[in-house]
Formats: sequence, C-alpha cells, structure tokens
Amino acid sequence: MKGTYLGELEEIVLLAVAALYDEAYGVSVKQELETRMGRGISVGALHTAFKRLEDKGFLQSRLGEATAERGGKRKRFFRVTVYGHRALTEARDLRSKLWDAVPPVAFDFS
Amino acid sequence: MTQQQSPRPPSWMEKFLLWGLETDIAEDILGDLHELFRLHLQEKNNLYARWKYFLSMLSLLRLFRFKFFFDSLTFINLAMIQHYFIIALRNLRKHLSYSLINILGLGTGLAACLLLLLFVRHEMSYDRFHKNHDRIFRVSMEVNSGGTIRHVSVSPTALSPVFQREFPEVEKGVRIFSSGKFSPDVVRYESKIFQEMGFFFADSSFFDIFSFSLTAGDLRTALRRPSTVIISQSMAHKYFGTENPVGKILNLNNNRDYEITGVMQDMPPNSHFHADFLASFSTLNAAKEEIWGSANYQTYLLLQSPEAVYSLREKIPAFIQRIQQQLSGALGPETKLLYRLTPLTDIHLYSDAENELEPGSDIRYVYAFSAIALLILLIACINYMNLATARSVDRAREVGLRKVVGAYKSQIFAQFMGESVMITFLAVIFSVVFAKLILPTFNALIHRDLSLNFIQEPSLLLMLAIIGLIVSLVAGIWPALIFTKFEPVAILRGKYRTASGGSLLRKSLVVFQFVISVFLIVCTFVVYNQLQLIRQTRLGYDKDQLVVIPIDRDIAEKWEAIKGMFKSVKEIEQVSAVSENPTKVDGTYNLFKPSNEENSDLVQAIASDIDLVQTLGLEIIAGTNYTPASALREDFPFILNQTAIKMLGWEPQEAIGKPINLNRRAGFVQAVVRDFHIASLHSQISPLVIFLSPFDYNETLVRITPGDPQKALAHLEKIWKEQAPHRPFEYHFLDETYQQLYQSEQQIGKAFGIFAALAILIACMGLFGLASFTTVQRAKEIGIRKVLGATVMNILTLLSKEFSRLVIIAVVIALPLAAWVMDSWLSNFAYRVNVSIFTLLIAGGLALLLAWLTVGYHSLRTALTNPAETLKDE
Repeated sequence: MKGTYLGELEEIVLLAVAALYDEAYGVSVKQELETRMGRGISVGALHTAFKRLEDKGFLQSRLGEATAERGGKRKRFFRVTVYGHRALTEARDLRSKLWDAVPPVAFDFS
Repeated sequence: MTQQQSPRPPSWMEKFLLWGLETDIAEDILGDLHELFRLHLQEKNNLYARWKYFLSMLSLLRLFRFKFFFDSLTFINLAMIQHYFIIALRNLRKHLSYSLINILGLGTGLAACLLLLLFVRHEMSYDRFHKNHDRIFRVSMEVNSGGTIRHVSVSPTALSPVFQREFPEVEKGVRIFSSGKFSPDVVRYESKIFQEMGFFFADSSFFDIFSFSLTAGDLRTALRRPSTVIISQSMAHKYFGTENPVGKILNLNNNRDYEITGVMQDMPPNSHFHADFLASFSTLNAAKEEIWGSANYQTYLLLQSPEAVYSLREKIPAFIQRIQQQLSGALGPETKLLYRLTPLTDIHLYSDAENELEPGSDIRYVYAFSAIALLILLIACINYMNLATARSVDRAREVGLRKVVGAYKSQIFAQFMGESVMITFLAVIFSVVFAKLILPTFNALIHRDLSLNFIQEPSLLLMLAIIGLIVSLVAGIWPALIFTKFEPVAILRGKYRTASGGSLLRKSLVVFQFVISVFLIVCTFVVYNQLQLIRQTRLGYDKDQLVVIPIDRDIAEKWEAIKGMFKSVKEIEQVSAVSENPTKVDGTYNLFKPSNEENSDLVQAIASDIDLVQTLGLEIIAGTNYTPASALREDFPFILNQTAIKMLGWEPQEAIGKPINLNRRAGFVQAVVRDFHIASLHSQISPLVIFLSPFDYNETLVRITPGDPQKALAHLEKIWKEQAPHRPFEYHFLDETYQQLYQSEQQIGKAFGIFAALAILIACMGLFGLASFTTVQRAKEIGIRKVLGATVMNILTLLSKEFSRLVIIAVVIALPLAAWVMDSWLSNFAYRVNVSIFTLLIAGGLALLLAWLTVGYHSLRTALTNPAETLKDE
C-alpha cells in the first residue's frame, strides 16, 4: 500500500511527464505545470517528486546529451513506467468510484 | 563569444549545490537551473535571474544529503576525542610560551570584555526592578522663552492631581520633592545631629507606583498623615542602632518634628534617585493647593498601559491651551510650555533634562564601552588566529600523516576547533580570576558597585560560556580550515616549509589590531588633554583655598555677627555669604531694561553680601565694588558680568549707573566684572547678575590662607559650635566640587587609559609570538646573510622593517579616524582643546616604539646567533 500511494503533487507530475512523452525533463515539466495548471512549483519540490516517483518505480530516466544553454550539463529525460501507468489508472478509478457514489442530491444547491 | 558575455549563474551557489547534492542527480538539476537562469535573464534582468536561482537553491536544500554528514560525525568517537585531548595537551606543554601568550592574551581580552559587560549591564538595568517600570513615566517641562529652550525635570504641584482627574490614561501619580537638593538638611534625634542630602517628600501613592518595600510599618498608611517619615535601613542604623525606630520622633532643620512610621529597604544602586528619608508630602505647604505657577517637584505617573503614553502625549498641547490662563501669570506672554513624558527606564541614560535628582549617564558611553569590549576581544582572537596559522608548519607533518592514515577533513577540522575551544576554556578561567582581582579597582575608578558572583547569578556563567564559545569559533575557524586544506603529499615530501599561505590576511589582521590600539591611545591622550585644560583654565576666580559651608535661615539671620567672628581669625582672609557658589549657578531670573518693560532677558543671578567680589577674587573692569553703604540702600546696586553687559548692548564704562530691574528688584549697574565661569566648561558663560539679598543665603564661602587648612577649619568649627549648635559643622572645598563637575569625563578618561593599555598589551603579545615564529623560519637566511658579511644592525633593520611597515600603515589609518571621533566628543565642551598633530604623532610614535621593542627581542636574538648554529645541519 505504502509503495503505491500517490500524493497529489506526485500524481500531477506523473501526468505531466506522460503528457510530454519524449520531451519530459525538469524544465519542460516545470513549464508544463505552470502553463496548464497555472501553478508555480519550485525546482526543489519538482526534483523531490521526481526522486520519489523514481524510487517507487513509477518513472524511469535516461540521460540526454549536453547543450550550451544548460552550461554543458546533460538533461535527464523521464518516462512513465508500467507501474506508473497502473498507479495513475488506479487513482483515476478510485476517484470515479467516489464520484459515482455521490448521490445527485449532495450537489443540489438550488 | 556571446556565451562569455552573457551573465552566468552565481558560481558560489553552483558550488554549494554541487557540494550538497548527490552526484548522480546534481548534474541534471544544475542543468535545469542553468536553463531557467537563462530564461529568467531573457524575461527580466540579471538580478531577477539571480534571485530566482537563489530561491531555487533554498528549495533544493531538502534534497541535500544531510544523512551523510551525520554519518561522518560518528567517526569522532570517544577514543578519538581522548586522543585529540592528549595531543592538544602535549602541544600546549611543548610550546609553552606560545600557549601562554594565547591563553593570557585571550584571557586578558575576555576579562576586559567581562568587566565592560558588567558595567553595560548595570547601566541598562536602571529602574527596571520596579514591577510596573514599563508603565511609569516622569513628567518634565520644556520651557521655550524667546528661542531659549530649557528642559527641566520638575513640574508644578497641580500636575499630578489634575492629570489623574482629567485623563483616563493616568492610573496614579506621585509628587516627589527632594529637599536636600537645594541645600543640605539637618536631621536630629536626641543628641545625634547629621547633615543629610537624601531627605525627600512624597505622596502616599509612592509605594503604589514604585516597588520599594518596607521592613517595618504599613505601606498603605505610612505616608498618609502630615509630619510622618519613613527612613531607610541604613539611616535606622545610623540614628537608632539596634533600637526599633518606628514611633520615634526626628527633627528636621531645628524646625518641625516627624514621627517615624516605617523603615524601608535601602534603594538599590541602580535606582535613578536615592531617598534616605521619605516624609509625607501633605506636610508641605505646597500640598495645600494645586498651583501651576511654580515648579519644584518631580512628578511620576503610572499609566493604564505602556501604550497609553501615546494618546496622553497627544492630549497635552490642547490641555496646556486650556490652562494657559493660569500659566501666563507665572511665565510671561512670550513663553511656550510643553509637558514631556519620559519613560522611567530612560531617565538614567537618555534624559537631557536639567536638575535631575541625581546626575545620569549617557547612552553614548554605553555604546562606546560595548564597542571597546568587542574590539579588545577581537584583538585577542586575532592573536590566536595569527599564531595558530603562523606555526602551522610545526603541525603540518602531523596533519599530513593523519590524512595518509585516513583522517577525514571533518575530523581534522574538529580536532583543531577542539583545540581552540580548549585554549579558550583555559582563557575563560584565567579571565574570571583576573576580572575578580581587578574588579575592586575598576569599581573605585568608575564609582559603581559592580559584582561578579556566579553563585548568586548563574546567568553570568551562561553568558561567559556563550562568549567563550563564540570566541573559540571566531578564533579557531580560520586556522582549522587552513589545516584541513593541507595536501598530505606535498607536506610529507618536505615541500611545505613556510607559512606563506594567508600571509596577506595575517598582515591585514596585524594592521587591524594596531589600528584599534593606536585609536584607543589617541582617545586616551585627547581625553587627558581636555581634563588638563579643565584643571588649568583660568576660571576668572580663584577656586583654591575656598571652603564652602552650607547654612540655613537661622544662621543667615545672624550672619553679620558670625561673619565678624570668622574674619577675626588670623588664618581666614575673606568671608562671604551667597545663594549659590560659582561651580553651579542654577537660579534663572528675568532682567528688564526700563526702556523695554515688556521684554526681559533670561540671566543667571547670585544673591550675596558685599564681600563676594574680593572673596572670589573677581576682577572689576568698570565701576566700584560694594561698600558697607551699599547694603543699606533702598534700591538694588547690581554687579554684572561682561556677557550680561554685552547682551544689554552697552559698553562697560557707559553701563555704570544705568537703571535695570531684576524680577521686580529695581536698581542700577554698580560695577562690571570680567567674565568668570559659573558652570562647567561644557557650557558658555551666561549673562550673570550679582545682587545683595540676605534672604537668599544658602552657603558661606570662606577663603583661608595658604598652608595648613586644618588650623583654620578648627577655628571655624569652634565658632560654629558656639553660634549654630543646631547644625553640624560640615564643609567642602570648592576645588573638590569643581572636580566633581567633570567626574564622568575623569572616569571615562581613566577607563579609556586602562583599556587602551590592555589593547596594546594584547596586540604586542601577538606581535611577540608572531615575531618569534618568523625569525625562527628565517634563521637560515639570516645565517647566510651573516656569513656573507651582514652586520647585526643590518639584520635588525631587515627583521624590524616588515613589522614597522604594518604598524605604520595602522597608524596612518587610525590617526584620522581617531581625530575625527575625538573631535566630535570635544564638541560637547564649549571650552575645549583641539586634537593636535603633536598628540597624534606621539600616539603613533608610541605604538611604533612598542612594536619595535616587542619585535626587537627576537630580532636581536636571531641577529646575534652564530651562523654556524643555524647552518650546520644542511
């Protein structure tokens, strides 16, 4: 249970990585989150999430090549693993189950 | 090309991140940050990009591998600590002189720091022992009459009761009247008669406001009835010994009797006033009605809350408008008045009001002393740093070997920090012993009663421990870092021979030490010069051989008779009775010219008998002195000083005979005297009027013949005992009173002297240690020079040159700095010396000379060594 638990931020980061497919690395994910979600995220928080997701086996990474605009440093590209995909689906299913359980009258505010 | 020109992320932050982050993720994170930095740069500017980078760095702290650092700490286990301890002790013993210099230097610095901290703490603690100290405010008056602003600590009788009724902010008020401040009182119990300075009157609310406690009697009722008095414990002992004083009757000034209703604890030294007797305010006539016109009383208000003072301050101007009617009678139409509220705890250090109950101190002195404490400690720390790094050669092999067998950098660092903590600890012990030894001298010097008692005040111990820890950190961190950096390969190959690394820093630190020392020397000299000026300034009157005896109304009534008897004594030259003596003329009067009845000038005035001019030795420059006939006149003959005549717009000669009017005393100018000082040299000579008025005598001035004063005093006492048996014969010499005007300057001067001496002593100790190492290092070079024909003198100059250069640089920096600071101090005095080039040069020369002497010992020893000794082993 503990191993597959997905925090809210982690879920979003994981989805963003999936959305960017082959182009997911630190800066692109950060910008994706900022533009799509209107939500700023610090470099520290983002990389902490990466590290946790990778430790849980939801992400895998490979190193790209060095470029000048990165001061000669290589990019680390991320890709969602099978487990990652399963965790995302489970999270979505859990939610839709909960949604289904809500009687219409609960949201009737008129 | 563009790559190089565009700004890069700050490198220290990059290094920091590289150091803290795990290597496998560091690269990609730094890459991200670099990319973001460029984006931010395009978006806004360099500053913005750096700021964002900084924020990111902070956010990344959570990824730092702290666990690793904690793991590395476990290498420092008990066995290693024991080992370090032994090594440190061995090193201390092996280089005993070096260790002593360090411990004594740091210890002296710490002791000086400790004393100054005690002093500063005492000064800051004034009046804080009162439970309600943050709600108590003292009301003072600011009087602005035609542009001349005076701020006095007194207020009228009506103020306290009216404020309590009118303003909801005021919870309680108390009026205090210090009777002894005007002229000493005489207190009698049966046959015991003493002159007392600490006789006070206070409202019964006194103990509701101030937290003084009674050892006998009832707080609430003790000051209710008229003619009751509370006495302090020491007074109870003085007058009654072991008897119970409550219920006994004291007599004041051969006049009224007071019943003792209580005994209070002596007021602590850090109270801004000290009452020995506290009589009920209702005894005074002044208590019978509420008057705005005259102000002789200190008023303290207890407010609802500390913040209530702001709203109360805002209401005061409107209030003064309302009572203007009652005020204008007393003040004149052109005078503006303001009541000011001073927090109780600010009175001692911040008050600029005149006639405080006791002279206060100045917050600037507290700052100055704190700064000196810090500087001296810094000098001592620098000694440690310089000596430790200069002799790093000695320990290089040890460090090298440690590294070879696997010591971590953190371990080396911890070892040398530990040594610094140990040395500081020894220094702390020394400093406590040293401080205890010199505390009595220090107390006598600054007229305080400071104590250093760790059992009563464990907080002192904590303070000392914290200071010690900070000192060991400051002193130890740089040497420890240098040792950590040693390259074992270079050392063990024997490459590392001289401690050239960081020598620029070491030199700068020596310069810094001497800047401080020279600065303090100059300060001492200037303060001393100013005090010298004060002692030697021609005051315009002769302050020596003048005895001052306070008198009262009874004596004033038969003054002429007593004066006659005094004058018949062979050893007595002149006698005169006055309202105030020239060391401090307080009374302010209004002087009118008949042509201009509306506007008056403020002048100081002395009431006297006809012999004042010759008793003080004043010089008359126009007109004639008083004659016996002057005293019989209906109108008032006045003697004015030059400043007063100038103020009135007259020449001395033409002024004679002109009519003037002093507070409704109509008269004419009888004579003009040359200006003489009627206050301390802090202030300009103010316009002064002397007039004849037997009702105002408070003191007698008796000029005795030079020689043995005891004989004259014995005669005076004999006459006194016959003529005024109700009053003890107590006297003081005018020149002593004069010296007391400059008490605070004298204390400052002495304290500066001591701490300047300590500073230069510690700095020279450091120089001594440094010289010993550098000369040892250059022993071979010197040997070769001698073989090639250098004389002892050549070598002496060679070795002294380097140190001399440093000291000269220090002198060049320190002199202008000191000149500037002391110039602003001197501006407190209306009559002052200038900071002369001569003083500056002497101070600089002294520092140089001391440095030469310090370095000279080692230089000479090296220069005299037989070169064969140093060169034989190569």
